[in-house]
Amino acid sequence: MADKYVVIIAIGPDRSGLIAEITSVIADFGCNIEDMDQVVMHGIFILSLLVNISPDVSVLEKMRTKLQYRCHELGLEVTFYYAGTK
Amino acid sequence: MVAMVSGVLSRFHVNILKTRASTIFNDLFIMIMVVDTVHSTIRNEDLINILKRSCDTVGLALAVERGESYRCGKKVIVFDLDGTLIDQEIIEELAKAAGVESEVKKITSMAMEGKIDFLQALKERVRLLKGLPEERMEDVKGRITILPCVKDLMRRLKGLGFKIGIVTGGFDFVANYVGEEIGADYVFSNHLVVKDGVLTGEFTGEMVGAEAKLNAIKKIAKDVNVGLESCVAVGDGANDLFMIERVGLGVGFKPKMVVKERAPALINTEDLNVLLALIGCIDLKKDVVSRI
Repeated sequence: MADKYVVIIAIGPDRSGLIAEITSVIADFGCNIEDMDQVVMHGIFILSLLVNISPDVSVLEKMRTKLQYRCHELGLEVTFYYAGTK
Repeated sequence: MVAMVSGVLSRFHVNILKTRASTIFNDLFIMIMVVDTVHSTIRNEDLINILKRSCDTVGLALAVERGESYRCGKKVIVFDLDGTLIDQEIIEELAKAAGVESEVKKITSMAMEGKIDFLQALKERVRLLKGLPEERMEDVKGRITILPCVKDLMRRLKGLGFKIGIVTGGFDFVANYVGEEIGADYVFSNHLVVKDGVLTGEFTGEMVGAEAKLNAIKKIAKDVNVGLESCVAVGDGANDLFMIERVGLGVGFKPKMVVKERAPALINTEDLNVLLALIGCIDLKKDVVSRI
């Protein structure tokens, strides 16, 4: 079966530890990051991740809720896009 | 992996300025991070050691380079021979043929761990080979296996314009053969003296001691008209450490403990293609260099 993916984008004021916070949530749900781009522009942290959710698609909603909560605490906006299969 | 590496950096207040990561060559995940250690709560050497240990436990290769060095394009790459490009230790294969394997093996492993002087070890081992018929060297050459990924890697490196060298304290009858097989531009090795069809137990050549390998790199660099910062050195043993610590990027490939502790880059898998990622020969590098 083809793998299923989501693209997650987080954006907000930069400070150290943001990547560790966000990626540890994803790792806790057993999902794998296959592509990643991160940059800081004028103090704004921008992160995009391609995450393989195939091992357990049912975790997507739980992960989304957890990430939204975590990102809110970190002062980041987060968006999910279902990226289909590859 | 991302969580693990960024977790270590975050713990010591190391700020990540830019990240590019991707899955390439089928299943190889590569991540390049540009980090700022100005507010770091730990010395750089200690941070590198913690990263190395963390990466080692999960089987990741790691390279840490200063911004200036990373930006500078690499032009020269040199490899140790025994245990790096080929599976065997040539002198041990010769020892097998001469029936003195265990004595020679003992000296080799002590030398590779840095417990005895390399020159002394080489002299003692070659002396044990005295009387071995010359034709047995051909048998040994026939048994040499070049690691499966090496030829492919060399083709890619050549395509990228690298000058490739082999620097070994081993012997020319194998080093030249491997050099030809992989298309090396330079081979630096020693020569076993043969008289009346048998080995005399002596050798000639200048490739003794750790400094000899670095001197060989310097010669290649001068030829190519680049500095040591544009050179990459790859090896596994204690006698490779001197060059590994002094070139732009020194890589321990399947390293012995002493190299593992001190090399700024480590590859713990059999796959030398990982090297392409570590030296930045993938598109990801272009993307981050402008941010350093």
